[in-house]
Amino acid sequence: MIRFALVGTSTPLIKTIERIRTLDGLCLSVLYTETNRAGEVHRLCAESGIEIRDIALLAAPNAVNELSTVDPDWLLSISSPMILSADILQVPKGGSLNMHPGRLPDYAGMHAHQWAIRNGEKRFAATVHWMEPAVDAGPICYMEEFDITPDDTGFTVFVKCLNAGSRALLRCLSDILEGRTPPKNPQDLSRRHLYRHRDALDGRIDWNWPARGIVDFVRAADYGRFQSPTYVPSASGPRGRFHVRKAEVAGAFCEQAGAVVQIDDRGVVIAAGNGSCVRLRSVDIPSGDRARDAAIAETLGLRPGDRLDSQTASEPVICTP
Amino acid sequence: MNETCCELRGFVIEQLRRMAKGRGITLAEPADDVDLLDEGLIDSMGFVELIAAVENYLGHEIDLSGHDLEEFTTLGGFVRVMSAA
Repeated sequence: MIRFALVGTSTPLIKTIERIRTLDGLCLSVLYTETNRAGEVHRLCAESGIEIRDIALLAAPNAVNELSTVDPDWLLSISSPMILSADILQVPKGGSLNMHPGRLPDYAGMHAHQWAIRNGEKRFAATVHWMEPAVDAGPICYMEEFDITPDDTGFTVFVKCLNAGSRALLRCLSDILEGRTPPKNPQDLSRRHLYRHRDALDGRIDWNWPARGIVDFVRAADYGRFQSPTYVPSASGPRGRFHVRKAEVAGAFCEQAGAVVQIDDRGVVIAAGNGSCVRLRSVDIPSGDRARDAAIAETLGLRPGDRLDSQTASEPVICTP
Repeated sequence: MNETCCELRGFVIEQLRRMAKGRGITLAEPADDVDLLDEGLIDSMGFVELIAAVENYLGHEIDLSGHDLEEFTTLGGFVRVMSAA
């Protein structure tokens, strides 16, 4: 049996453990995670005989001793935000691998799937790479690609990332279980972009953005009934702030950005940057009420000719080498 | 509801009962319009696990692109999306 220690938090773990726990020859001995969060991960581990330990132990001064007591052949990090020191990464005899739910090297860091939508990517990937002390910077084992369609949202791309990441991890585990070392393809770090959590918290819509950028910004934060892990797209109207849940690109009008140019049975059309327009299809107001399509104008108190403020917000497209 | 949908619904209820049991809750026969999130029967992590379980059951990955996820958290909505995806 080849012994694996797992490190990770929250939802990515569930899908991955579900996929790999029954592989022959593999022993998932310990999971380092947030022990104060009861739930399905704990139940799944109990069912699978995986011991749970507090992830904080790997940040403590005696972390090397802690991991040495587990004596893992391999360490698997599943989308863990924890940065492990070089000493810890050397404890597993085979090595340490991380499943990153994003494409590398250009989507390192946090919430890569949301940034991919915001940046208008049509094709994306999840990656398994060798771990180094720098975040998501180690050599790549496998990258599994998938399409991002115009209908995709933050939630659906997140699920796609987990599926692709699980596939990439299964390829690594196949290598290991069959006695091969997973590939080590160095990253071109000149193309690296590291996204930080704090870069993704501003939900204010700037109507000067092109319509496509606004629509992508809105759908990247669309998690259906679940909460976006980062921002809620928002704007200000005559009756105060409101949240934009659904929007679509709606032709072109030569109006100043933020102007209400049309109200119809499908929603409210707002002028955006570069002569483009956005149609609001679903909004929430602070009382918690939701308005869709024809009801939006009345709910927000909008009339043709009104102008929504363009707020100072960071550009949605910030992908730089 | 066709046969596949009925079978999937039965499987989902079985999973929900297993998850509820882990929380010390006994789950009776839920109606299709029961919102699993609002009723506290399952959280967002639970939904991801449920998707993974359905994928194992169906033998293929679920692509949620283009599906209306507004009713995704009701039993009936979840089964409809899963059987169409």
